[in-house]
Amino acid sequence: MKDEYPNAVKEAAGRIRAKVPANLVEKFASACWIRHADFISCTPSSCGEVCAIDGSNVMLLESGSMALTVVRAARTSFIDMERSRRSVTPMTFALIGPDEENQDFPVLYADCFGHPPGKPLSNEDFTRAAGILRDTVEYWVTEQAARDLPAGSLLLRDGPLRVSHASHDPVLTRIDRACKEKEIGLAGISKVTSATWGGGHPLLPSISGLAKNLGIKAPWWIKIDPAILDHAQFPQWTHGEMYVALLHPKARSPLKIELPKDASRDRAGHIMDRLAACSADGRVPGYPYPLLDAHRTVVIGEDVVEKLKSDILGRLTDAGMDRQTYEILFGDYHDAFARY
Amino acid sequence: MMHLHDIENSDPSKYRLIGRSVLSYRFIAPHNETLYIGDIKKITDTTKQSTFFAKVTDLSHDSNFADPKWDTRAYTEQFYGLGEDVFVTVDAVPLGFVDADGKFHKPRTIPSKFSLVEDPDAGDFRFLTEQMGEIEVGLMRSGQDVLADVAVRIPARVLPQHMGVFATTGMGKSNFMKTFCASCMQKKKFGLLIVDPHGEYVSGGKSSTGEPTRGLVHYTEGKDGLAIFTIRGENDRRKYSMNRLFLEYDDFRISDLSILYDLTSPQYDIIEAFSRVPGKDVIDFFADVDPEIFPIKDPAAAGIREGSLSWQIRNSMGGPVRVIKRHIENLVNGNQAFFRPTGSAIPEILKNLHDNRVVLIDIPDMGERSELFVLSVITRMIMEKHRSEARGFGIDDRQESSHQVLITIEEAQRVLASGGSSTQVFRECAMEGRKFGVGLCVVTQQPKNVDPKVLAQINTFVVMGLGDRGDREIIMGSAKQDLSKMEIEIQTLDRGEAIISTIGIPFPVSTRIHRYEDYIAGLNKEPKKNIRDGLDSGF
Repeated sequence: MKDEYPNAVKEAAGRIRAKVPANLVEKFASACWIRHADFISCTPSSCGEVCAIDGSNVMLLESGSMALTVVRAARTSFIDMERSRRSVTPMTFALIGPDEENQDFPVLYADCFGHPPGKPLSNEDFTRAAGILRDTVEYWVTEQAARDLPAGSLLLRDGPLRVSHASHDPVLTRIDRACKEKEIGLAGISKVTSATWGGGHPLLPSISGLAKNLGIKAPWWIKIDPAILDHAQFPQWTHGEMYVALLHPKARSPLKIELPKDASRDRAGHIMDRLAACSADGRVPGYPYPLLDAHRTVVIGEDVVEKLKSDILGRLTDAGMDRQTYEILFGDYHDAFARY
Repeated sequence: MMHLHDIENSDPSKYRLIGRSVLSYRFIAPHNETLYIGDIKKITDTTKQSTFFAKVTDLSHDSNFADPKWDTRAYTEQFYGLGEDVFVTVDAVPLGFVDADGKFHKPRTIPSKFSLVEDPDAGDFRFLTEQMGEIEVGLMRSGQDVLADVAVRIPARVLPQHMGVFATTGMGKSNFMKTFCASCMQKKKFGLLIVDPHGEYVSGGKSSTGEPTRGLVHYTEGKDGLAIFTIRGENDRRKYSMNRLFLEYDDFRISDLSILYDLTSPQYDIIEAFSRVPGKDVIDFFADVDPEIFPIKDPAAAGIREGSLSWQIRNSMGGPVRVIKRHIENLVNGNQAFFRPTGSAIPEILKNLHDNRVVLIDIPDMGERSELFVLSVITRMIMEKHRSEARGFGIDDRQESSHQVLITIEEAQRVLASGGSSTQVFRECAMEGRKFGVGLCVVTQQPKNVDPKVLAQINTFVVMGLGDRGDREIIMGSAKQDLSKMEIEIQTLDRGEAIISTIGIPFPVSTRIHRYEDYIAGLNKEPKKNIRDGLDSGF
């Protein structure tokens, strides 16, 4: 009995270690046949105009049958790392549940794109539904940027070039097309990735360790052959190809970067050089600063959440809902637990 | 239809009041802004229609980042958009506010949140100019800059309530004193006494930094406000219309010895025994007396008449008498240049003081003991004179002397240290002089060595650079206005800069003291007032 907890810890750590073994890099090198020449050094150049898009959603109120979420998206533009514009969509509330299909999604979608979505949004998973609602505004902002950015700009989005809902697929297609027409460098940047190889070995530490073993000096990038990965993404919703890049010598981790399909090596190299050039900020070295700025612009902080909750409560009170009913619906026992 | 709001790229977070209480203001400024301790800022409160003023007391780097180590990591070599989130936090102490009617008030309220913080101009200080006094010493300073149109003038009426000038060597103390003298000469609002053993006040000399300086005689347009008593030769006296300084033996009291020498208890007994004896009698007595006859067991047998001076100290031992005799001989011989049996300039000195002139006692090369001797004699005479005047007041008269005199004591810690009963005359002056129209101008570079009870009597503080923390703390604790928030400014005062705190001016004023040479050059150029223009005020 006394060893129960240490054993549990040991087992949990052991299971992680099995996926990230001591010889992870060696195993990866022999399994994927990546050579020194596959890593390409970045030559940080002028960033030019860079636009970054990010979205944010917060679950304001949650009961067993429904939840109220608020979403918004932001866009920040930099010209040679001087911010030229920053904008944000209004706070948009959406109710998830109690119906099976989300009632606000078609309204929001039509609000953004002028027509209803091709497929409804299920309310089954509150968190996923909130994410799709957020993506809707985020894709709208990205499409606006793809339309009005000057040719040759860089358009960054936080996340992959892959949609999570069928109705966003045509939007991302339009964005991709618009960027290609204007030679806008579109890149989807992910801080984490679920990509694995060899039966569950994580990709990013494997690539990073291999680069280190081969003596590759950051910043560098490499295109990932999908054949080495365990699972291929659903190809219809995927608009990009996977790259991994370490954009600064002091970066804490490489990033998974997706560029539109069929980007030439030169085109990819040009985009990576510009990404490296805007990833030297001392706060988060190795992460494109415009994306950090977009994140900071869009994030709905605790103080804002409190204000929003207060406004909603006020309106509910005006509408005749008493405090007790509100507490029964949306009160969280964890708040009470936290006091003790 | 979904839409995007543009967020202003301008930064409204800076220069708006965000702090915190009635007595402590705070705002932020761009991280690369040049700000100085002592800067005066104007806070415009449009809601309350008032303009607040505050003085910067501290500057610190700060940021909006939650990570407190964001700026100390090894790779922090490049940052984008730093100016929005990285800033200088400015702490300021309120000075007061001017209401919609232009009336100044102490800071008893707080400006509205986010009131705009700006740099004031001279026009904003019109209220202050109106409250300033007459004795100009410099220009108001805001940080590194001076407000050219805001002259700092100490009210003459508060000066006899004692003034302290506190500065370490080389901070411009002599320059301040000469500038102060020049303004006193010009305005003639009270008598000012200065004893100068170095001969630098008369015609200048060299400053502590080696630069040639000018003296009071070079303020030619103000010569009517100056009377010099000197021991210099006739040629010098004639050249600058100086008077000959003489003290006569009867100006001396044996108690003056206690200021000049460390005396033992038996020696004090002799001092006390002769405390009311005229100086000439004391000097003559000790010139003739043989100390070896003391103690006198049988006065009659020794031919000592009852009541005579020898009889009064008959029980003293020979040693103390011998020491006192030697001290008096030294005093007489060492001050022969101005100390003589009869004929004193004291009445003339008092007259000039009461005519509101600056009286300069110029005794070059005479040493510290002579300076203290002259100073203690004249101080005692002034106090006696003013006391006797006060005794003449009727019950219904205003108990206030018609004559106001300020006595300068340089290196005041010598005579105003804690527990020094030997310096009674200066102590009385500090404690009671105000009642008789006698003030002290206490000049020292070691305020912590001055009796706190004396400091507590001072109403006007001129604080120049003080390097010693103990000195600063004693000053901050003694001033009538709160200087505690200005410690950093006091610590960083440059040569020629001062903080002047006086009950006549509503808040402590940072001042760039006029350079004496420049100041008198300006005064000498001022057109003389035509007698037909009449007096400043009626009879």
